[in-house]
Order: sequence, then structure tokens, then C-alpha cells
Amino acid sequence: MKIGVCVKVAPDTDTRIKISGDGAGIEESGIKWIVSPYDSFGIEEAVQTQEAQGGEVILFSAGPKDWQTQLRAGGLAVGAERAVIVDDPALAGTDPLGIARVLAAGIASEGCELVFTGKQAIDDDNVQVPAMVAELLGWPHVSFVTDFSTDGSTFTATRNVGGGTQEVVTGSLPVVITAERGLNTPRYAKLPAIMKAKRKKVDVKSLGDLDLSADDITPAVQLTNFSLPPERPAGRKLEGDVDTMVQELVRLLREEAKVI
Amino acid sequence: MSSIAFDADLQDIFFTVFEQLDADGRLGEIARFADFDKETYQATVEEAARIATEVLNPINGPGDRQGCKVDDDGNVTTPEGYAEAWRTFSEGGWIGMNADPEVGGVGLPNTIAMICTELFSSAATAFSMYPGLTAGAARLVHKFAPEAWQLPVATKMFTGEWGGTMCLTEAGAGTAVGDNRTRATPTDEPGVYLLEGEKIFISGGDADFYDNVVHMVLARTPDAPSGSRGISIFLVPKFEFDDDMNLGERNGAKVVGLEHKMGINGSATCVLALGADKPCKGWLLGEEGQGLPIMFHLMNEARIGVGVQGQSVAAAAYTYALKYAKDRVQGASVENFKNPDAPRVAIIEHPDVRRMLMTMKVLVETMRALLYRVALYEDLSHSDDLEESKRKKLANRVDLLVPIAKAHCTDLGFDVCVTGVQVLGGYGYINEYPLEQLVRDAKIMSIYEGTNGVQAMDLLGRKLRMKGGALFMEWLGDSQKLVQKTSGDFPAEAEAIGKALGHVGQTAMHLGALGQKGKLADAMLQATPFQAMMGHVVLALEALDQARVAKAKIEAGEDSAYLHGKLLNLTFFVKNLLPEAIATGKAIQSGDTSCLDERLFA
Ligand SMILES: Cc1cc2nc3c(=O)[nH]c(=O)nc-3n(C[C@H](O)[C@H](O)[C@H](O)COP(=O)(O)OP(=O)(O)OC[C@H]3O[C@@H](n4cnc5c(N)ncnc54)[C@H](O)[C@@H]3O)c2cc1C
Repeated sequence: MKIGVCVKVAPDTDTRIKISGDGAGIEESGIKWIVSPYDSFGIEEAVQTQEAQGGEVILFSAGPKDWQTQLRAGGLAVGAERAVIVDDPALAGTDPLGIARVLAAGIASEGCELVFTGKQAIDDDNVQVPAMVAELLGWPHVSFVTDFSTDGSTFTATRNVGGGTQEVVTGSLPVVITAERGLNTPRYAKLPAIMKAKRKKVDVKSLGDLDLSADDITPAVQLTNFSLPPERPAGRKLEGDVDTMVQELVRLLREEAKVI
Repeated sequence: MSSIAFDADLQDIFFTVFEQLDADGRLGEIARFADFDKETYQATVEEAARIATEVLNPINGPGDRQGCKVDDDGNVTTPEGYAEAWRTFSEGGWIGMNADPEVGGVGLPNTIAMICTELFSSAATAFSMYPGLTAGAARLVHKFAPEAWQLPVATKMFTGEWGGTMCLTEAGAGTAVGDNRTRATPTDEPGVYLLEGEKIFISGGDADFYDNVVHMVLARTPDAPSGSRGISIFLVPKFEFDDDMNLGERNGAKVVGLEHKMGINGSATCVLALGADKPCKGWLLGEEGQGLPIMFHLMNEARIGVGVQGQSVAAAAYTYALKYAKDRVQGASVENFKNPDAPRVAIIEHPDVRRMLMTMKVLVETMRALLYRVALYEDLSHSDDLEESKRKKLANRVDLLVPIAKAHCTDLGFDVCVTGVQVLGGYGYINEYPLEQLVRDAKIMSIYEGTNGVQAMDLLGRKLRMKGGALFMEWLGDSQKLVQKTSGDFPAEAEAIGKALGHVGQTAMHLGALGQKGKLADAMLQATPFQAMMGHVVLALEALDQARVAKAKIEAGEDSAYLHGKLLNLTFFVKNLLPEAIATGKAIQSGDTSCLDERLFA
């Protein structure tokens, strides 16, 4: 079975983000790039599935070919077999639907039967691409999955639906699964595997290689302006006797925080 | 739970190894390392940093408080989490990272392995001693064990199925290893001896996360000459085994006690009884009488390794202290000291705190540069791809710098941890924060693997005189070349360092002259001050070299606060720390011998 994993490379979680000069993006120099952590859960699940069922794990990325550094360290060194990066100038301004079209085309061209990915990327937090990929492939899609198993033709996936309730979904392959924290614990790369990852294949493709053109990924959405969230105001200490403090607290909760 | 998150300073690590030392370029010329490149080195170090942060650091504080236990059968229990960490370590190939693939290793250059070791030790010194000693013992097995065992036993060890120890010390034989008393009596089986005696202070003498442990034991055969020449080295397993590595009977090497100590409490420091309640078999490595020469195969590696420990705890102390100082709000800025309503500031605003942090920073970063350089030269000096003369020169430099790498980096490493406590104030002293443990863990490093006093005597009494003084003269010459090369960019600093080099030369001549007059005690009295003096100049040279690289990058348009910090390092070192070296040189040359006066301590 060919198992695909859609992987995005994103700034490390503790990066201090700076807005770029034109306000339409972020300052990219000096950032440490990593495989988006939810995608790492996807990679781990794919590798575990491959270990149980056989087959091959292929990583798919729509982004600059330089991502191969992170794909090797965070994917090929922990059990994925090869990677496909679609790097095309037209990708620069596209939107989630454009990215999904590219990934879906890549997945279809490889004939995958099962696709994992993170529930969201940690940079844009859009939570859109996986569902779109599934739709474009005409596959079902189970999101926020915390437990997964398959026998090679059917699958069972558990997802959190909030409030402590879990939903168990069963179905048959193919399917797109998005990983929630708790699905697994990504393994550490073993030294020999880090060395081997260097020689694993990373195909860099253009849109044309997938029979797509820039027109196919014309964005419907454009990002025009970024701003940082306002700084958190300093804490406030209420003064006076208990009655005054309680009254003040209730007033603040009602009028400022608007929670009661 | 430590209250400040552990962090690896990958930016400085990568700057030092790739930008300053061009290690990937230089190692790339060596056939043995042709399979690697910068990207694999970087991925390796990043994975090591992840393991250090996520697996090792969380067990460091609890392991310190819990310590180790031993039962009546001599089985040691290590702190919680150690077994799992060992598993991650073994499975990942980290114990044998720079070992030969034929014994389960990965064959990484020492330079890169050292960086990983720095990260592991920085996160959890006590834990990292187990893999460190196992790898050291495995290297001896690989080279010197009975032939049928060389590959399989070393493989067991490098892959973490078995552990290893180094057993030199006895109650009466610490620094004076030649005074070893453990007896080894030959049996009818060739190469097999029965050992009797007691080894003390044996790190990792047993553990609960491997199947067997292999001790490398120094002992004396019946008719051996006295002193070092009479010492042999034996492989002494906890469980005997056959040629297929199946475990057999329990051997008579048994942990009979653990020391209660100041730090590295997660590392079991064992009393190991040999042949006390049952016969203890030992298999001779090499030939009789070769104990110390064989052990010396590991000496450079082990001493550099302890130097790295010193630097690693300092690095941890610095990153913790820096983070804390940015967060901790206390007092107003000195400009506002008379205004009670002035805004409170983070303590990093206070000049005295900045001075402490800067001292920590510059020492941590220059020690890092020195250690990586020594490791790189070690790699290059063992490579047939380099001309013989170049290799010899590199090996000479390693030999000269090893005592400094060990002694200076562990002395300063401890000092930096102490300064770290001071930055945190009261919070540095309590065990809710990781600083006090670092101080306790750091102290042993100036003691084991040859006390720092012994290192200083090795520098002054041996290394300076080796090959007619060639090692020292080559170092002086190359250092002066760096000074000249940088005098355009950093005229004042280069000149100051050049003068300091002159002082080191003069001081060495002064001490050499004492030696020639037969005043050995007068000369050796100054061994430690001389080591500290030369050590500081060695570090100043690293600050100069790093500033050179940083300046070139800045001029090429890559300006950053980080690179600017390297220029500040140089100024700070030259203005604040280098004068200590000059003053020490003057003190040495004053020729004072009051401590040798017989009436003193009478
Ligand atoms: C936690 C811990 C772990 C250890 N792990 C190991 C281990 O795994 N394996 C092992 O074999 N040993 C180990 N040791 C032992 C360690 O290497 C010795 O403690 C060390 O070699 C010093 O020996 P000593 O303690 O007997 O001190 P001594 O030799 O008595 O030295 C005391 C002082 O005298 C000085 N001194 C001694 N001789 C001279 C001299 N000739 N000239 C000038 N000064 C001198 C020393 O520098 C020192 O300051 C460990 C020790 C500890 C505490």
C-alpha cells in the first residue's frame, strides 16, 4: 500500500514572529524551520501503518525545494521512503485551495490509498487543506483523529468531538486522516537512519509535471495585511477591604471581561 | 520540574563548528567521512538537541534527588527514567556514534560526536556518564580484547546491550595509579587470571538497564615490577559469557557499596569488590605490563571528554541565567535609584548582572571553540588523507592543548555555574531551580580523569618539553600568525593578545630555567597558575578568531545582534579577562616560594 503524508514546513514553535516590511507576510530570515508538529504525528502514523501493513510512505509538500532539509530530518529519517516537493513560482501567491489542488494531483499521480496529515499547520492555522485534498480526490476525510487502525482495506478512526465525547468512525480506504495530538508519539530519528535519509529520493516537480498550470491555482483569497496581536496588558491588583474588592471584581467581570 | 526550560544554543554551536572552524569543509577532505555532509551533521546535532531537551533534561533534577541504590547482590538501581533514556540512546545509535560500523557504530567524526556529547551532558551530566564510559571501555575491547571477543563484545557495548566501566582507582592509588595493589594471578587457562582487590569510585559500576557490564580493571601480576610498568589491564565481566555472547555464571566482581556524594547523584559511584565472596575471573588485554599504555589510548579522548563536561554545564548555566535575568523583575534602573516610583526593570538591565552574564557568555563560547578545535584536529590528525607533516603538527597541537581543555574548561566550567547561581540570587541557591545542581555536578570534573593539578603538571612538565619544546613553539608561532592576520581588523585587541603570548613565552622560559637548575619543586609550584595563564590566552585567541569570522560576515552584509556579540566578546575578553593572565604571569615570575617553606604548616 502506498501511504501519502502531506507535510508543511513551518517556523519553530518558539519563533518570535516579525512582520515583514510590506506588512503582507513575515520576516523569514533567522527563522528555524521545522516540520509542522501535527504533520509529524501524521508521518509517525503513516510509518506505523507501513510497518504493520507493508508498502511505502511518500511525503508530499507544496513549497520551496529547500524544504527537503526538513523533510529528510523529520520524515525520511524516521521511516518515510521518499518525498515529492512541488516547487513552482506560481505557488507563492496561492491559497489553501491552490495548495490542495497541487497535493491532490501529487497524491493521485502516485496512486496512494491512504493519506495522513496534521489537523492544521502551526503557522497559518487555517485547517482547510486536508478537507480540500479529500474532496478533490473524491475520498472521505476524518479529522482530529486520536486513534487509528487499518487492516489494509477498512479502517477505524477515533476522533474527539469535544466535551470529552469521542466518535468512532469506520469505513473503507481510501481516506484522508488528519492527526490530532495524542494520536501517537513521534519517534526520534536513529543515527543510521539520519545518514540513510541523505540518500533517499526527493523528487522536485513543477506544476507542469502534474499537468497543472498557474491558472489552476489562481487564489480566491489574498493575504494583504499582517499584524501582531496586541500585547497583553499587565495584571491588575484589586485593593481595599474584601467587600469592595468583590464588588469591583464582579463589575470587571461583567463590564470589561463580559463573562457574567 | 525545573522552572526554567532547558535550551541548546544551536546558533552558537553551528557558528563555531561550521563558520569559524569550517569543520564540514575540512572533514569533507577525508575519505572516511565522505558519506557525511553539513546537512547530515546538522540533522544529527538537531536530533541530539531534541533528545537532550525532551528525554534527558526531564530526568536530570529528579535523578539528582533520587540517586541510586544497590542491593545485597550488588545490583544497582538507577533513578526513574534512566532506563528509558538508555533505551532511546541505545536504539538511536548514540553510544556508538563515532565508533566503527564493524562494531555497530555510525562512524561520525569526533567533532560532531563531541557536539552531541556536549548537548547530552549539558542536559543531564550524571546520565550521560553511563554511555560515555561504556563507549570508552568498548573502544579498549574493540582494540585489545582477546580476538574472538573484539567485535562481538564491543558491538554489545556500543549498542547498549552491555555497559562498561573504567576501574583504576583504589583507596591507596588515586592520582598515583602506579601504586595499584589489586592482584591478578594466572590460571591454567591462557589469558585468564583470578583477580583480588577492591576498586573504589567506579562510575556506573552497575546499572539496571543492561544485561551485563564489562569492567576494564588495572591490576598487578605476581612477579610484576613495582610502579606503572607492572600494571596490566583485564576485562572483568559481571556475568561470564561464551563466544556466542550467551551469558553464563555470575563472576566475582560485585558492587558492595555506593558513595554518597556532592553531585552527579544519578551516576552510581561504586565500590567494586573483586574476588571477595567468589572467584573473580579477568581476561588479559594485550600483554602483561601493558595496562597503562593501553589505558593511555583513551587518555586524550577521556580528558577532552571531561573538558566538554565542564563546558557543557557552563553552557547550561549560562542559558538558564540569561533566560531568568530577562524575566525576573527587581528594582529600578540605576539612573532612577532615588525615585521610589520608578518603573521596575528586569535584572538584565542592571550593570552588575550584565557583567556576570557577559563573563559567562564569553567563557562558554570560547571554551566551546577550543574544544571543537581540539576534536577537529584530533579527527584530522588520524586521517591518512592528510600529509604526514600536517598530521603530526595537528597531533602535536592536540597533545599540547589536552591538559588545558581538561583543566581550564572544568575549572572555568565550575566558576561559570557558580556565577549562574549568583545571577539568580536566592533562587539560584534553592533546588527548585537547576543552578545549584549544576554547581554540585560540576565540581567532580576538576577531580576525576587526572586532577587539574595533575593536568597542569602534565602541561608544564611534559607537554612544554616534548620534542624539544616543538609543540609549544609551533603553538606560539601559529598564534602569532593569527594575531598578525587580524591586526588590521582589531588593532588594539590583536596587539594585546600578541603581548600576552609574549608573556606566556617568557613565563615558560622562566619556569624552564628553574627546571634546568634542578629546582623542580619551585617550578611545579607554578604549574597550576601557568596552566590558568596559558588557558586564558588560548581562549582569548578563540575570541579573536571568532571575531575575525563574525566581522567578515558582517562586512558581507549579514549583520545581526548575534554576530555583533562576537565582536563584544573579543573586547570584553581582552579588556577584562586577559589582564588576569598577565598578572598571573607576573606572579609566577616573581619567584615566590613561600608555600615551600618548611616552617609552614609545621
Ligand atoms: C564521583 C567520582 C567518580 C569517579 N569515577 C572514577 C571511575 O570511573 N574510575 C576510576 O578509576 N576512578 C574514578 N574516580 C576516582 C578519581 O579519578 C580519583 O578520585 C582521582 O584520580 C584523584 O585520586 P584521589 O581521590 O585518591 O586523590 P589524591 O590522589 O589523594 O589527590 C589529592 C590531592 O593531591 C593532589 N596530588 C596527588 N598526587 C599529587 C602529585 N604527585 N603532585 C601534585 N599533586 C598531587 C591531587 O591533585 C589532589 O589535589 C572517581 C571519583 C569520584 C569522586
